[in-house]
This record gives sequence, structure tokens and C-alpha cells, in this order.
Amino acid sequence: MSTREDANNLHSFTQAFQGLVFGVLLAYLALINLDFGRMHVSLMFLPVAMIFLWPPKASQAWSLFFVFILGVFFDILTSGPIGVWGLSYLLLFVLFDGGIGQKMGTVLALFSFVFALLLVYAMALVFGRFSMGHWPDMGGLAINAVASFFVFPVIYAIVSLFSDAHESQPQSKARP
Amino acid sequence: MEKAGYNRPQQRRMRRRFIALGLVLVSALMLISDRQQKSMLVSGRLSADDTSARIMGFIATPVRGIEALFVKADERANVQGRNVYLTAEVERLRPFEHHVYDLEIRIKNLEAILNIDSSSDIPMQKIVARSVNETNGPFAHSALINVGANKGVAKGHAVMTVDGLYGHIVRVGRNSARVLLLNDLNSRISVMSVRSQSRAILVGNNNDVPRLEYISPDADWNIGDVIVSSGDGGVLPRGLPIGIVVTTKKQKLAVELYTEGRPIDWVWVYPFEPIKTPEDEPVLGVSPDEAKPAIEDTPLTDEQTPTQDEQSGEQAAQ
Repeated sequence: MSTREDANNLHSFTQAFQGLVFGVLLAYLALINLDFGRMHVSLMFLPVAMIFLWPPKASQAWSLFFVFILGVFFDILTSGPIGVWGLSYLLLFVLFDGGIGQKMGTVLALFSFVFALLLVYAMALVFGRFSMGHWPDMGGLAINAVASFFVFPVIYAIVSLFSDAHESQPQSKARP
Repeated sequence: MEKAGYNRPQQRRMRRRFIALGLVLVSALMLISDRQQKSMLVSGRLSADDTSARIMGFIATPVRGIEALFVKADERANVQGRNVYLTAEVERLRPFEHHVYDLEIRIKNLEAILNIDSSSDIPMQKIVARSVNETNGPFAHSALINVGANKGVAKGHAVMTVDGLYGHIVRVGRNSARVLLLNDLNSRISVMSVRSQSRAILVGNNNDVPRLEYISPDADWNIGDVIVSSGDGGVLPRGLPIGIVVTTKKQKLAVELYTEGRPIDWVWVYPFEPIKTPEDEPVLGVSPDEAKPAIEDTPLTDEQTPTQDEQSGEQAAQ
């Protein structure tokens, strides 16, 4: 294996790891729960934004593993049934064939993210039903999805900014 | 080394598919294993809770501040009306205060005469904690508090707010503990009505108003009844305030929790020791069946044998 190939492998691994780190940060942000009277608002679908905006140059094999880790980690953080988010995130990543958000324009990314949210919403409902034996709180889940959608442009802007800065580095230009 | 008939991109694609399939299978297995029980990855959950308690402790302060802004803005808007209401409430409650003092003296006197102790189960010692994160998600309703085994918190302890019962401890880490809220799907608390002493089980349903279930047909329940913990089963102390009886859209009895709709910041953990069964706490050297009775079980003579009327009278009294 050549040195260049080693460097490429390391680069694609770090890209995947970057996705995990951002995902974990978003998972913690998603835990914030705001109570306005009887309405509970949280951003439970925020990690979906990171899967949607997963670094495109990341190693696919490592990305799959990190997406799985992120999902299970989020399951543990939310104290919910293990596997619901893990399986949902993994299937979303496989269906989208990696993070597609960074490969498209802003408007298209917004529409695609709505589709991703709907997919994860449906999967979380079905897996939640299977795991708990009854349907999860559909209304609460929908409010969380809508709230996460409104925060998505901010995440998109930050990730784009980060990705642009990374692209301008000489190392990434040298990649084949 | 490349296999015949395959080039490297194909091999990579195959490897990716294999990994994806493997991970999907692992996730599905985890989902099946964890079905209806939260026993998987216990140590992982404890470590994550401890770390989250620290991180969310920092984040919670501004978040609670934002929540308080909304609550306080609402309170300030109604400050005049609220003042009038509270003044009237104080005037209404003053006679009750005297009545309570009177009752307290009478209960003490009766206890002294009967030589019994009917004091409350509610422990005087409390552990103060901060609720750093509340998860009101679609799958679970729980909260994370920033004290754990380091302060003597143990599984099963009741957690209270200034308004009423918040939940009970289900998982304890070194510096954190997980509270299962009353409206969580897995929450089951035995409760009673203060007015009629009727018993029921408060069953969480992941909604704001948990249901009252296992109600006997002749039980006396009314809308507006105050609900407290019954202490049955010896798991929770008796008399912890919980909420008020309401009806759902399907005309079923439910409870509007005192803690619902308010930002929760500080809580108290009640270190209540559940009542142990004789099997759990045997007398040293004596099995529970062989323990010496306080009253000897000697056979009665014909003269001492109660008549049928006496027996039925005793049963009625019981």
C-alpha cells in the first residue's frame, strides 16, 4: 500500500470521525428540553441533520460504523429503547448512500431534509411500536421533527462553512 | 491480493454492503433484545448518564433561565389579580391552620392513650438535587439529576418537587441518577384518594395525564379528588401529593399532575427504605416460620370457644 493511499485512508477515516464528533455534539443539543407551559419542545431529530450532511469524502465503511455508534449513543442518552435511533439512522444512511446534503444546493437540501425527517419519523414510529408494544407519542415526535427542521438551516450553514474551509486546505486539493 | 473476477472498487462495494448488512442485523438484534426491558447496556447507560449530568448541568442553567422568562412574564402580567387571589386564599386557609393544630394535639393524645405510633412515612431527611435534563421524548419520560450514590441516592427513592411527586429513581450512577417520571409508560404507582381513601394504580402512558387503573367497581372516585401515594407495597412513602383527578376525552379517570407544566429545576430525593419482607430480613438463627409468636397459639377449652354469633361479630368489626 503506497504512502499516498495510506494518507487517503487516514483522511477518509478522519472525515468519518468528524461526522461522529459533530453528531455527538448535536445529540447533546438534542437533549435540551424546553417546557413552555404544557408544550415540550426538544430537537430530537437534530442528529439526523448530521447524517444528512455527513462528510461526502468520508470512508463509507467507517461512516456506517460511526452512524451506528451515534444512533446507539443517542438511544442511551435519551434513555429510550436501545436500537430505535441506531437502526433508523443506519437505514437512512444506507438509503441515502451516505451524506447527500453537502452534494446539493441549499433549496434542494432543505426539501431532501424534509424527506429524510419523514423517513426517520416513520421508522422511529414503527421501531418504537415494535420495541415498546404500543405507538410512541406521534404528536410529540412530529413537534420535535418540525422544531429540528427550523434549526436545520443553521446546522447546514455551519457544516458548509466548515466544509468550505476544509476544501480550501492544500491537503484536500492534492487528493486524487 | 485481488480475487479473480473482482476488481478493487467491486470488492470495496461488497465489503460496504457486508458491513451495512451486519450493522443493520446487530441493530435489529439490539432492538429485539431490549424489547419491553431496559436492561441492555446498563454500564454504558450509567457512564453516559454521569457524563450527561455534567454536560447538561452547564447547559441547563441558561435553558431554565429562558423557561423562567416565559413563566415569569406570564406571572408578571397577572400580578394584580394573583395578589388578590392569594390574599383571599390566605384568609380561607387560616381557619384550616388552626384546625390542623387542633387535630395534631388530638392525634398525639390518642396515640399516647393507645400506645401506637401513626407518624407519617415521609422521611424528614431529604437530598437536594438539580434536575439537569428532562427527557419528554416520544419513547421515554425521564429526568437526570446531579446526585447519585455519592450522596446516598438509591434505586426506588421517591423524587419530589415543591409541587408534588416527580417520579422515582430507576438508575443510580456515582454522580447522577435517572428519575422515571410519573407519566412514563413504565411507571406504576399505587395511589389513593384523600377524600375517600379509594385505591388505584397510577399508570403512565407517555402523555401529560397518566391514567387511573385497577379501580374496583364500588370504589368512590370523583373529579377533583386529591391524589396521594398510598404507600401500599411499602415501595413509596404514604401521603406524597401527586395531583387531581380529571377525566379524559374517553371519559376515563386520569390525574393532572401537580408537577406538569412547570419548569423543574430543584428536586428532593426522599431516602425512604422500603418495608422488608420477613424473608428478606430474617431473625438470626430463626427461620420466619419458627419465630416465637407474641401470643401463644394454645387450643381453647369449650368454655373459651367463641359462639358463631361472636365469630361473625368479630369478622364484621375486622
